[in-house]
Amino acid sequence: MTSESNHNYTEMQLDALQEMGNIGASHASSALSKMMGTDVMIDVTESVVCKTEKVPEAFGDREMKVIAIYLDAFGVERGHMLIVMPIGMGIQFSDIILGRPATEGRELDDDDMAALSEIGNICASAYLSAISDFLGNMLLPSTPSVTVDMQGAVLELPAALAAETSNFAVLIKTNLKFNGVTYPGYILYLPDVSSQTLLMKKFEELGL
Amino acid sequence: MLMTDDVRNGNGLVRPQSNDLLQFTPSMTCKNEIIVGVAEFYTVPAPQMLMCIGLGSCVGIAIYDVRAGVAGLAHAMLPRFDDGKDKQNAAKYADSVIYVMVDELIERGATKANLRAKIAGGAQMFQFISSDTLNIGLRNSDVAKETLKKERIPLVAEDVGGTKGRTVRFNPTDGSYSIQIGGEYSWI
Repeated sequence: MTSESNHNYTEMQLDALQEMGNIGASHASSALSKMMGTDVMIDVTESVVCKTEKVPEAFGDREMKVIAIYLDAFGVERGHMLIVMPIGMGIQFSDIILGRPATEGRELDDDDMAALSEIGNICASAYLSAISDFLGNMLLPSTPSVTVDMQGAVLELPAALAAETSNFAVLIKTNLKFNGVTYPGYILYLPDVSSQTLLMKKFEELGL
Repeated sequence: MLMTDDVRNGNGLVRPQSNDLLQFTPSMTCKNEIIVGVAEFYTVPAPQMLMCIGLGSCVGIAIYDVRAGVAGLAHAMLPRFDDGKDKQNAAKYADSVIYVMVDELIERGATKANLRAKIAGGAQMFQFISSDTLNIGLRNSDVAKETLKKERIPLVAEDVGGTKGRTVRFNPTDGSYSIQIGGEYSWI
């Protein structure tokens, strides 16, 4: 993730992508906070361009077990969205949504999976609609799909899908903070090539 | 060689039902273990070990010649070189990586007729509605099998598909392939 791998994006354009990610994620977190009735905070957004095969190792420990919610982001083509959170955070979220007493360290059941896919749905819808407004082009999330697995393994899917159309992936990642969970979750958005072009055009219009 | 302090002290798992000379224990951290990253492949002489961490939709293709004591492990991400965008890296695709890996193994002293293969991975990490076109994992493993057949390399064992990610380790000494799904180990 060095500057040479930043393909043909300028620092300025990457900053703009980062800002866009911030806007998307803040909409997502406020939608989530509203649904749950407690605050979910967002942290700084990072935007990087890297080779698609480096995506699975871009965020540290590949063997860490996480909850991952995957959605397609249908725009001009198909972009990808992944919401990743540590298991403890997912359980807390799910307990709040299902109105159950908080129980730490338990196994995830079907109700949890349903609650988590709803979280994915809400986050992605809010995120993408904010970006749609900016882009002037509709972006719609697909049905969410939830899994609990190794971080590296879940990241392989968006990486492979992105690799089908490009050598480089644009990663826009915002950390989610919630109630003392030390390891943050994150929202990751990989815009498709056409949406990237549209975004760059938009940035140009704005004089970036 | 593999009897590190960990094993001597009994800190490693003991490989169940093994009559092999080497007690290979997956939990032990082995110094001579090469981690094969996504879209990479390595060929090594025994007793060097090879591993792939977090194989999801990617497929881990191991090709080996026990007699010559060489083996290669590839971590392929997409099915076909011809359909791919990146023409720089043959290791990215399940078909092209087999060709280049076989060439390299032969350079290292393997005999083509003695080569055997084992594959693992190709999981469908997420359930989709339109699963067929999106199931990259299945396409990866299918193309790998097809290519091995074309190259006339017998596929002696496989553990593909499913919905879970795998961490795999290949031992060129005896050709054993350990597969870890969650906390469970199996050998093929």
